[in-house]
Amino acid sequence: MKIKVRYFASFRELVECEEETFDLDEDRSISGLISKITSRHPKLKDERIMIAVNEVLIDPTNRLELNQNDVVAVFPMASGG
Amino acid sequence: MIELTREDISINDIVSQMKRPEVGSIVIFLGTVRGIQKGDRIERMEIESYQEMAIKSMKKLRDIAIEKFGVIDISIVHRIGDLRPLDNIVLIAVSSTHRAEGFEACRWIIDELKKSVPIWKKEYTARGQRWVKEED
Repeated sequence: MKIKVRYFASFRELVECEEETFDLDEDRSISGLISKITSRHPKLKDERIMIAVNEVLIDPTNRLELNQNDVVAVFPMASGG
Repeated sequence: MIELTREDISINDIVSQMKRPEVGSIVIFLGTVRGIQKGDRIERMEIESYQEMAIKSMKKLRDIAIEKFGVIDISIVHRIGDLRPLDNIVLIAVSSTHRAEGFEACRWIIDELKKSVPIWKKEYTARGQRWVKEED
């Protein structure tokens, strides 16, 4: 299963792209996806990662399984206002 | 009104739309771009958002605050794009029957917005650029 991941703000600059695709096979969990992301982008390992699935913030350690059409976004803590 | 905009915020228009016979108070918070931050002169600021989620999050904050504080209506308008010192960044306006609940709701919304709405600021100074951290 392929999952598209969007990056924002400093994370977009660290990974040097706005979005990319990950192959999830045996482990389709959110925590599994985060492991794949940080393996591909070691620069994110020291960052506090926020993850949103279908525009809702989810705990990065969540074992919830992702589905094919889920919209995943990864970004740093908000700093608006 | 819940909005992300590249244009300046029309404070008078937003406030006028919120006036109704049952409203006796409109509390307004206006966040602006500082010209100095940690000793550095700010030349400009870029504001980025995850637009779809930011709008959804701001609507959720409005709905929770109306319920939690018993206010009548809430507008949240946040700028995105390229800003300069003294520009408006965010307007929060809360209408209520009396002022106490309006002040409380307004304070709660700006605090929650800073934590939970996916918007990020990047400052440009003579010494370079930096993403603003949430504790700044």
